[in-house]
Amino acid sequence: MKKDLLIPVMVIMGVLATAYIVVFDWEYNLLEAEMGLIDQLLLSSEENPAGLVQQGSVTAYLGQMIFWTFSLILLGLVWAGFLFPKRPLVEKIIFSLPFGVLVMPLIFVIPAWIISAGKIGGELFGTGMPPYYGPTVGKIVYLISSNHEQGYEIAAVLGFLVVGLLILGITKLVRKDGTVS
Amino acid sequence: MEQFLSLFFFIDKLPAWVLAAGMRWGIDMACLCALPNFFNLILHFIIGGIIVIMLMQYGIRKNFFLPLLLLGIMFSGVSKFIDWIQNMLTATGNTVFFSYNLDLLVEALQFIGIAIIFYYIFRSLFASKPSLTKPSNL
Repeated sequence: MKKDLLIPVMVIMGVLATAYIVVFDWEYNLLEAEMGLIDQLLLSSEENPAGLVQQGSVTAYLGQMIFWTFSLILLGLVWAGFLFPKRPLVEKIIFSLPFGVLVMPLIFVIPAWIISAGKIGGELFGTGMPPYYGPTVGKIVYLISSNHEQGYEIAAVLGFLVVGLLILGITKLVRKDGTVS
Repeated sequence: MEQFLSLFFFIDKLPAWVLAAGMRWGIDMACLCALPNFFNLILHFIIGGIIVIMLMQYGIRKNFFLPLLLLGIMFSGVSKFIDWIQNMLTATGNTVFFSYNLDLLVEALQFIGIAIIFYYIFRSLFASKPSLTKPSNL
């Protein structure tokens, strides 16, 4: 019988989320850069109608929330389909939401996390700033100030969906006794 | 390492429709906390719903574990709701919305909710259990 993976997967997600929060709480320069750009990037205005949050409309904002909720539940159900297929639907949905929140910003969170962790390590051990910090932080700030991270969010979710569907398809093809149909 | 990190910056290789979809539906990194808060709220509803179903099925009985758990979830859920409303007011307004009092209220409600949940969980864990040894006169 295949081992149920819900608890190990949730523990791994918890560890990743904790590492993510600890590093970003410590090294908040990126957040500071982003906060300084909020007025320019986030808030809607007549000069920037394409803006970020759907031109200040509450209904469009709720639409964004609902869009991502259903998209990420779909993504989570696909991954739960091969990680723990026997679990009830409510547990798969409970898994889907944090899993989706981890996946969505992954493409810019991984480099941001690596350079932040490198900087923290440099401070703790007295080795100074890692050489890759400057160029990478510049790329991330450019990414954010150009409003490109939203494209990455879509790309990450689509990428994980395709990979998940492939793995799900393969696991469906492989029979319990290990033979391929 | 720099070469490895540069692998993550491929925005110019993404098709135009992905970027367009990002602009249509994407959530800005500064506003990304809105989505975890929204999901957090949904999870509170799910967990609260499960507790209500358990209460209807099993009743309150002699201990108040389930009602207190529900009360804790309600405090925590209201806190997340206020937090999310603040995200929404920033995202849809013309200025960054920040209320010190509301922020304090969010933290206080969250603290009370978690305190209730943890108090009862630990109380249940460390409650004195009846002895399993047989009475000596048997």
